[in-house]
Amino acid sequence: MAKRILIVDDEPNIVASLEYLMKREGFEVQVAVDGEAGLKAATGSAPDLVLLDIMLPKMNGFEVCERLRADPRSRGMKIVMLTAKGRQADTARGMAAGADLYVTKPFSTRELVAQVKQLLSQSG
Amino acid sequence: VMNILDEASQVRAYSRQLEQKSRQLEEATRGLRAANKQLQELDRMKDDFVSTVTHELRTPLTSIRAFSEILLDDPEIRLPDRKRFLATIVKETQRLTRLINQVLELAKIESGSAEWHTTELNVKDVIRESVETTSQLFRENRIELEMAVNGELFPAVRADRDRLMQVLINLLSNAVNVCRPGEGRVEIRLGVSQGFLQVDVRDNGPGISPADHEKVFEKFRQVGDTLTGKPRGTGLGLPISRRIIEHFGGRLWVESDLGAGATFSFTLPLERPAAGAAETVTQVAG
Repeated sequence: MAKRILIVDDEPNIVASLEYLMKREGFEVQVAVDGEAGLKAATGSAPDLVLLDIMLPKMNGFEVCERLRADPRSRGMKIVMLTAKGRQADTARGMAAGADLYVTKPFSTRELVAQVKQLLSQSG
Repeated sequence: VMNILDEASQVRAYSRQLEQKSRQLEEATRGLRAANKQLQELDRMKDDFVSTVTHELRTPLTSIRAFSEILLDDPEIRLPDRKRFLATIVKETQRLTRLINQVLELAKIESGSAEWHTTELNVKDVIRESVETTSQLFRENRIELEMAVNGELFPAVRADRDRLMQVLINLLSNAVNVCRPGEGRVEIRLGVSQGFLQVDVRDNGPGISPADHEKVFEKFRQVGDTLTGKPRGTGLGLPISRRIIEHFGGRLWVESDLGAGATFSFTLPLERPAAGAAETVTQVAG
Protein backbone atom coordinates (compact mmCIF):
# COMPACT_ATOMS: atom_id res chain seq x y z
CA MET A 1 0.00 0.00 0.00
CA ALA A 2 1.27 3.46 -0.87
CA LYS A 3 2.57 5.55 1.97
CA ARG A 4 0.58 8.67 2.77
CA ILE A 5 2.13 12.12 3.21
CA LEU A 6 0.32 15.04 4.82
CA ILE A 7 1.51 18.49 3.72
CA VAL A 8 0.72 21.34 6.12
CA ASP A 9 1.65 24.72 4.63
CA ASP A 10 -0.28 27.91 3.84
CA GLU A 11 1.78 28.95 0.80
CA PRO A 12 -0.06 27.64 -2.29
CA ASN A 13 3.05 27.53 -4.48
CA ILE A 14 5.09 25.61 -1.94
CA VAL A 15 2.21 23.20 -1.44
CA ALA A 16 2.02 22.71 -5.22
CA SER A 17 5.72 21.90 -5.48
CA LEU A 18 5.67 19.49 -2.53
CA GLU A 19 2.53 17.81 -3.79
CA TYR A 20 4.02 17.27 -7.23
CA LEU A 21 7.25 15.99 -5.74
CA MET A 22 5.62 13.49 -3.38
CA LYS A 23 3.17 12.21 -6.00
CA ARG A 24 6.05 11.79 -8.42
CA GLU A 25 7.69 9.49 -5.88
CA GLY A 26 4.53 7.41 -5.68
CA PHE A 27 3.14 8.67 -2.39
CA GLU A 28 -0.46 9.54 -1.64
CA VAL A 29 -0.82 13.17 -0.71
CA GLN A 30 -3.11 15.11 1.61
CA VAL A 31 -3.00 18.86 2.15
CA ALA A 32 -3.95 21.17 5.03
CA VAL A 33 -3.49 24.94 4.88
CA ASP A 34 -3.52 25.91 8.54
CA GLY A 35 -2.41 24.46 11.87
CA GLU A 36 -5.83 23.44 13.12
CA ALA A 37 -6.73 21.68 9.87
CA GLY A 38 -3.30 20.03 9.89
CA LEU A 39 -3.78 18.66 13.40
CA LYS A 40 -7.25 17.39 12.51
CA ALA A 41 -6.03 15.71 9.32
CA ALA A 42 -3.07 14.10 11.07
CA THR A 43 -5.10 12.62 13.89
CA GLY A 44 -8.01 11.79 11.61
CA SER A 45 -6.42 9.99 8.69
CA ALA A 46 -3.13 8.84 10.22
CA PRO A 47 -0.62 9.74 7.50
CA ASP A 48 2.76 8.02 7.58
CA LEU A 49 4.65 11.28 7.43
CA VAL A 50 3.86 14.94 7.90
CA LEU A 51 5.66 17.81 6.15
CA LEU A 52 4.98 20.59 8.61
CA ASP A 53 5.53 24.32 8.15
CA ILE A 54 5.89 26.50 11.24
CA MET A 55 4.37 29.87 10.32
CA LEU A 56 0.78 28.71 9.93
CA PRO A 57 -2.52 30.46 10.55
CA LYS A 58 -4.62 29.38 13.55
CA MET A 59 -1.95 27.21 15.17
CA ASN A 60 1.79 27.25 14.56
CA GLY A 61 3.80 24.19 13.56
CA PHE A 62 5.54 23.83 16.94
CA GLU A 63 2.22 23.47 18.68
CA VAL A 64 0.88 21.05 16.08
CA CYS A 65 3.99 18.92 16.52
CA GLU A 66 3.78 18.94 20.31
CA ARG A 67 0.14 17.93 20.25
CA LEU A 68 0.79 15.13 17.79
CA ARG A 69 3.56 13.78 20.00
CA ALA A 70 1.34 13.99 23.06
CA ASP A 71 -1.37 11.96 21.33
CA PRO A 72 -0.78 8.18 21.48
CA ARG A 73 -2.42 7.77 18.08
CA SER A 74 0.23 9.90 16.37
CA ARG A 75 3.26 9.30 18.53
CA GLY A 76 4.93 7.11 15.95
CA MET A 77 4.12 9.39 13.02
CA LYS A 78 7.14 10.79 11.19
CA ILE A 79 7.23 14.57 11.38
CA VAL A 80 9.47 16.72 9.20
CA MET A 81 9.47 20.44 10.01
CA LEU A 82 9.88 22.35 6.79
CA THR A 83 10.29 26.02 7.41
CA ALA A 84 11.81 29.35 6.43
CA LYS A 85 12.61 30.04 10.08
CA GLY A 86 16.24 29.07 10.35
CA ARG A 87 17.64 30.39 13.59
CA GLN A 88 19.36 28.05 16.05
CA ALA A 89 16.60 28.69 18.56
CA ASP A 90 13.99 27.58 16.03
CA THR A 91 15.78 24.33 15.18
CA ALA A 92 16.21 23.54 18.85
CA ARG A 93 12.56 24.26 19.51
CA GLY A 94 11.50 22.06 16.62
CA MET A 95 13.51 19.10 17.79
CA ALA A 96 12.32 19.68 21.36
CA ALA A 97 8.75 19.63 20.07
CA GLY A 98 9.42 16.13 18.81
CA ALA A 99 10.18 16.55 15.11
CA ASP A 100 12.13 13.75 13.44
CA LEU A 101 13.81 16.20 11.10
CA TYR A 102 14.12 19.95 10.70
CA VAL A 103 14.62 21.25 7.15
CA THR A 104 15.02 24.93 6.27
CA LYS A 105 13.57 26.52 3.16
CA PRO A 106 14.63 26.87 0.38
CA PHE A 107 15.26 23.13 0.40
CA SER A 108 16.88 20.77 -2.07
CA THR A 109 14.18 18.62 -3.67
CA ARG A 110 16.55 15.68 -4.04
CA GLU A 111 17.64 15.81 -0.42
CA LEU A 112 14.10 16.15 0.85
CA VAL A 113 12.90 13.18 -1.18
CA ALA A 114 15.84 11.08 0.02
CA GLN A 115 15.21 12.00 3.65
CA VAL A 116 11.47 11.34 3.39
CA LYS A 117 12.14 7.91 1.88
CA GLN A 118 14.64 7.09 4.59
CA LEU A 119 12.27 8.09 7.39
CA LEU A 120 9.47 6.07 5.86
CA SER A 121 11.65 2.96 5.51
CA GLN A 122 12.36 3.21 9.24
CA SER A 123 8.70 2.77 10.14
CA GLY A 124 8.46 -0.32 7.91
CA VAL B 1 30.18 76.69 72.09
CA MET B 2 29.85 78.76 68.96
CA ASN B 3 32.28 76.41 67.22
CA ILE B 4 30.23 73.35 68.11
CA LEU B 5 27.00 75.00 66.95
CA ASP B 6 28.74 76.00 63.71
CA GLU B 7 29.95 72.49 63.09
CA ALA B 8 26.55 71.04 63.80
CA SER B 9 24.85 73.29 61.27
CA GLN B 10 27.59 72.57 58.77
CA VAL B 11 27.07 68.84 59.22
CA ARG B 12 23.32 69.35 58.74
CA ALA B 13 23.98 71.32 55.58
CA TYR B 14 26.30 68.62 54.23
CA SER B 15 23.78 65.97 55.18
CA ARG B 16 21.05 67.79 53.25
CA GLN B 17 23.35 68.10 50.22
CA LEU B 18 24.12 64.38 50.37
CA GLU B 19 20.42 63.57 50.52
CA GLN B 20 19.81 65.73 47.51
CA LYS B 21 22.64 64.12 45.57
CA SER B 22 21.36 60.70 46.52
CA ARG B 23 17.89 61.54 45.20
CA GLN B 24 19.40 62.87 41.97
CA LEU B 25 21.37 59.66 41.56
CA GLU B 26 18.25 57.58 42.10
CA GLU B 27 16.43 59.53 39.45
CA ALA B 28 19.32 59.23 37.02
CA THR B 29 19.41 55.47 37.59
CA ARG B 30 15.68 55.20 36.96
CA GLY B 31 16.14 57.16 33.75
CA LEU B 32 18.95 54.90 32.63
CA ARG B 33 16.96 51.76 33.40
CA ALA B 34 14.04 53.05 31.32
CA ALA B 35 16.35 53.96 28.44
CA ASN B 36 17.95 50.53 28.61
CA LYS B 37 14.57 48.86 28.49
CA GLN B 38 13.66 50.91 25.43
CA LEU B 39 16.89 49.96 23.70
CA GLN B 40 16.30 46.28 24.42
CA GLU B 41 12.80 46.61 23.01
CA LEU B 42 14.12 48.29 19.86
CA ASP B 43 16.76 45.58 19.57
CA ARG B 44 14.11 42.91 19.84
CA MET B 45 11.95 44.68 17.25
CA LYS B 46 14.93 44.92 14.92
CA ASP B 47 15.59 41.21 15.44
CA ASP B 48 11.95 40.45 14.77
CA PHE B 49 11.98 42.60 11.64
CA VAL B 50 15.13 40.94 10.33
CA SER B 51 13.71 37.53 11.13
CA THR B 52 10.43 38.34 9.39
CA VAL B 53 12.16 39.79 6.34
CA THR B 54 14.36 36.70 6.09
CA HIS B 55 11.30 34.50 6.27
CA GLU B 56 9.43 36.55 3.66
CA LEU B 57 12.38 36.47 1.26
CA ARG B 58 12.96 32.74 1.67
CA THR B 59 9.36 31.89 0.87
CA PRO B 60 9.27 32.84 -2.83
CA LEU B 61 12.82 31.47 -3.19
CA THR B 62 11.54 28.10 -2.04
CA SER B 63 9.10 27.63 -4.92
CA ILE B 64 11.59 29.10 -7.38
CA ARG B 65 14.18 26.54 -6.35
CA ALA B 66 11.76 23.62 -6.01
CA PHE B 67 10.13 24.09 -9.40
CA SER B 68 13.45 24.75 -11.12
CA GLU B 69 14.85 21.50 -9.74
CA ILE B 70 11.69 19.61 -10.68
CA LEU B 71 11.98 20.87 -14.26
CA LEU B 72 15.68 20.07 -14.42
CA ASP B 73 15.22 16.56 -13.08
CA ASP B 74 12.49 15.63 -15.51
CA PRO B 75 13.04 16.74 -19.14
CA GLU B 76 10.05 14.59 -20.13
CA ILE B 77 7.62 16.42 -17.88
CA ARG B 78 4.16 17.00 -19.36
CA LEU B 79 3.82 20.31 -21.19
CA PRO B 80 0.93 21.71 -19.13
CA ASP B 81 2.93 21.07 -15.94
CA ARG B 82 6.06 22.57 -17.42
CA LYS B 83 4.19 25.74 -18.41
CA ARG B 84 2.52 26.00 -15.02
CA PHE B 85 5.76 25.60 -13.12
CA LEU B 86 7.66 28.06 -15.27
CA ALA B 87 4.87 30.62 -14.88
CA THR B 88 5.08 30.19 -11.11
CA ILE B 89 8.84 30.65 -11.15
CA VAL B 90 8.43 33.91 -13.06
CA LYS B 91 5.68 35.19 -10.73
CA GLU B 92 7.63 34.33 -7.62
CA THR B 93 10.68 36.06 -9.02
CA GLN B 94 8.59 39.19 -9.49
CA ARG B 95 7.22 38.88 -5.99
CA LEU B 96 10.71 38.52 -4.58
CA THR B 97 11.87 41.59 -6.50
CA ARG B 98 8.97 43.68 -5.21
CA LEU B 99 9.71 42.54 -1.69
CA ILE B 100 13.40 43.35 -1.89
CA ASN B 101 12.66 46.81 -3.30
CA GLN B 102 10.16 47.56 -0.59
CA VAL B 103 12.32 46.33 2.24
CA LEU B 104 15.16 48.52 1.00
CA GLU B 105 12.79 51.49 0.62
CA LEU B 106 11.48 51.04 4.14
CA ALA B 107 14.97 50.67 5.57
CA LYS B 108 16.16 53.80 3.76
CA ILE B 109 13.23 55.88 4.92
CA GLU B 110 13.47 54.69 8.52
CA SER B 111 17.21 55.16 8.75
CA GLY B 112 16.90 58.65 7.33
CA SER B 113 19.10 57.88 4.36
CA ALA B 114 16.40 58.13 1.71
CA GLU B 115 16.77 60.97 -0.79
CA TRP B 116 13.80 63.28 -0.96
CA HIS B 117 13.27 65.46 -4.02
CA THR B 118 10.81 67.96 -2.62
CA THR B 119 9.17 70.39 -5.02
CA GLU B 120 6.02 72.43 -5.22
CA LEU B 121 3.22 70.20 -6.51
CA ASN B 122 -0.26 70.39 -7.87
CA VAL B 123 -1.82 67.43 -6.09
CA LYS B 124 -4.66 67.29 -8.60
CA ASP B 125 -2.13 66.55 -11.35
CA VAL B 126 -0.42 63.86 -9.31
CA ILE B 127 -3.79 62.23 -8.58
CA ARG B 128 -4.68 62.28 -12.28
CA GLU B 129 -1.33 60.69 -13.12
CA SER B 130 -1.70 57.94 -10.53
CA VAL B 131 -5.20 57.19 -11.79
CA GLU B 132 -3.75 56.96 -15.29
CA THR B 133 -1.04 54.57 -14.08
CA THR B 134 -3.51 52.26 -12.36
CA SER B 135 -6.18 52.46 -15.04
CA GLN B 136 -5.23 49.12 -16.55
CA LEU B 137 -5.48 47.41 -13.17
CA PHE B 138 -8.98 48.86 -12.78
CA ARG B 139 -9.96 47.74 -16.30
CA GLU B 140 -8.60 44.22 -15.84
CA ASN B 141 -10.58 43.76 -12.65
CA ARG B 142 -13.61 45.63 -13.97
CA ILE B 143 -13.62 48.01 -11.03
CA GLU B 144 -15.25 51.38 -11.46
CA LEU B 145 -13.21 54.42 -10.50
CA GLU B 146 -14.67 57.82 -9.79
CA MET B 147 -12.44 60.84 -9.44
CA ALA B 148 -13.89 63.76 -7.52
CA VAL B 149 -11.24 66.39 -8.10
CA ASN B 150 -12.68 68.48 -10.87
CA GLY B 151 -13.50 72.11 -11.05
CA GLU B 152 -11.57 73.70 -8.21
CA LEU B 153 -8.20 75.30 -7.77
CA PHE B 154 -6.33 73.71 -4.93
CA PRO B 155 -3.37 75.35 -3.21
CA ALA B 156 0.06 73.91 -3.89
CA VAL B 157 1.92 71.65 -1.49
CA ARG B 158 5.56 70.77 -1.15
CA ALA B 159 6.40 67.07 -1.45
CA ASP B 160 8.46 64.46 -3.26
CA ARG B 161 6.42 63.80 -6.39
CA ASP B 162 7.58 60.22 -7.01
CA ARG B 163 6.88 59.18 -3.45
CA LEU B 164 3.50 60.89 -3.38
CA MET B 165 2.66 58.94 -6.56
CA GLN B 166 3.81 55.80 -4.76
CA VAL B 167 1.35 56.46 -1.93
CA LEU B 168 -1.54 57.10 -4.31
CA ILE B 169 -0.77 54.01 -6.39
CA ASN B 170 -0.52 51.95 -3.19
CA LEU B 171 -3.95 53.12 -1.99
CA LEU B 172 -5.57 52.74 -5.40
CA SER B 173 -4.19 49.25 -6.05
CA ASN B 174 -5.10 48.12 -2.52
CA ALA B 175 -8.65 49.31 -3.22
CA VAL B 176 -8.79 47.35 -6.48
CA ASN B 177 -7.48 44.22 -4.81
CA VAL B 178 -10.10 44.16 -2.07
CA CYS B 179 -13.06 44.75 -4.35
CA ARG B 180 -14.99 41.99 -6.03
CA PRO B 181 -14.29 41.99 -9.79
CA GLY B 182 -17.19 43.54 -11.67
CA GLU B 183 -18.87 44.88 -8.53
CA GLY B 184 -16.19 47.14 -7.16
CA ARG B 185 -16.43 50.89 -6.88
CA VAL B 186 -13.54 53.10 -5.88
CA GLU B 187 -13.77 56.83 -5.34
CA ILE B 188 -10.90 59.26 -4.92
CA ARG B 189 -11.67 62.68 -3.45
CA LEU B 190 -9.63 65.79 -2.88
CA GLY B 191 -10.53 68.49 -0.39
CA VAL B 192 -9.17 71.16 1.93
CA SER B 193 -9.52 71.00 5.68
CA GLN B 194 -7.99 73.20 8.36
CA GLY B 195 -4.81 74.13 6.60
CA PHE B 196 -4.35 70.70 5.07
CA LEU B 197 -5.08 69.13 1.75
CA GLN B 198 -6.94 65.85 2.27
CA VAL B 199 -7.15 62.93 -0.14
CA ASP B 200 -9.66 60.12 0.45
CA VAL B 201 -9.65 56.79 -1.34
CA ARG B 202 -12.88 54.92 -0.70
CA ASP B 203 -13.68 51.35 -1.73
CA ASN B 204 -16.79 49.21 -1.37
CA GLY B 205 -14.84 46.12 -0.40
CA PRO B 206 -15.34 43.94 2.69
CA GLY B 207 -14.17 46.66 5.08
CA ILE B 208 -11.86 46.49 8.07
CA SER B 209 -13.00 46.01 11.65
CA PRO B 210 -11.99 48.82 14.05
CA ALA B 211 -9.79 46.35 15.94
CA ASP B 212 -7.66 45.99 12.82
CA HIS B 213 -7.47 49.66 11.84
CA GLU B 214 -3.94 50.07 13.16
CA LYS B 215 -2.89 46.53 12.25
CA VAL B 216 -3.09 47.23 8.53
CA PHE B 217 -0.26 49.72 8.97
CA GLU B 218 2.01 47.17 10.64
CA LYS B 219 4.88 45.74 8.62
CA PHE B 220 4.14 42.45 6.90
CA ARG B 221 0.69 42.30 8.42
CA GLN B 222 -1.92 40.99 6.02
CA VAL B 223 -5.44 41.56 7.25
CA GLY B 224 -8.52 39.82 5.98
CA ASP B 225 -9.08 36.77 3.81
CA THR B 226 -7.55 36.45 0.45
CA LEU B 227 -10.83 35.61 -1.24
CA THR B 228 -9.78 35.75 -4.85
CA GLY B 229 -6.60 34.43 -6.38
CA LYS B 230 -5.21 37.95 -6.47
CA PRO B 231 -1.46 38.43 -6.16
CA ARG B 232 -0.53 38.55 -2.51
CA GLY B 233 0.75 41.87 -1.29
CA THR B 234 4.06 42.22 0.50
CA GLY B 235 2.50 43.66 3.63
CA LEU B 236 4.81 46.68 3.37
CA GLY B 237 2.85 49.03 1.10
CA LEU B 238 0.86 50.78 3.83
CA PRO B 239 3.69 51.07 6.38
CA ILE B 240 5.83 52.68 3.69
CA SER B 241 3.01 55.01 2.59
CA ARG B 242 2.45 56.12 6.15
CA ARG B 243 6.10 56.94 6.67
CA ILE B 244 6.15 58.92 3.44
CA ILE B 245 3.10 60.98 4.40
CA GLU B 246 4.49 61.57 7.87
CA HIS B 247 7.72 62.77 6.34
CA PHE B 248 5.66 65.32 4.41
CA GLY B 249 4.08 66.49 7.67
CA GLY B 250 0.73 64.79 7.18
CA ARG B 251 -1.22 61.82 8.53
CA LEU B 252 -2.49 58.61 6.92
CA TRP B 253 -5.37 56.73 8.49
CA VAL B 254 -8.35 54.52 7.69
CA GLU B 255 -12.04 54.73 8.50
CA SER B 256 -13.93 51.53 8.01
CA ASP B 257 -16.30 48.92 9.36
CA LEU B 258 -16.74 45.30 8.41
CA GLY B 259 -19.18 45.07 5.53
CA ALA B 260 -19.10 48.81 4.92
CA GLY B 261 -16.08 49.36 2.70
CA ALA B 262 -13.04 51.39 3.72
CA THR B 263 -11.80 54.95 3.28
CA PHE B 264 -8.07 55.55 3.44
CA SER B 265 -7.30 59.23 3.95
CA PHE B 266 -4.15 61.27 4.11
CA THR B 267 -3.39 64.93 4.68
CA LEU B 268 -0.67 67.20 3.33
CA PRO B 269 0.15 70.53 4.97
CA LEU B 270 -0.58 73.50 2.74
CA GLU B 271 2.21 75.94 1.96
CA ARG B 272 0.20 78.76 3.34
CA PRO B 273 -3.01 78.30 5.33
CA ALA B 274 -6.08 78.65 3.10
CA ALA B 275 -7.23 82.26 3.25
CA GLY B 276 -10.77 83.05 4.31
CA ALA B 277 -12.87 82.54 7.40
CA ALA B 278 -14.76 79.36 6.62
CA GLU B 279 -12.40 76.40 6.43
CA THR B 280 -14.46 73.31 6.00
CA VAL B 281 -13.91 70.12 4.09
CA THR B 282 -14.73 71.01 0.53
CA GLN B 283 -16.17 67.99 -1.19
CA VAL B 284 -16.36 68.44 -4.88
CA ALA B 285 -19.17 66.46 -6.45
CA GLY B 286 -17.80 64.18 -9.14
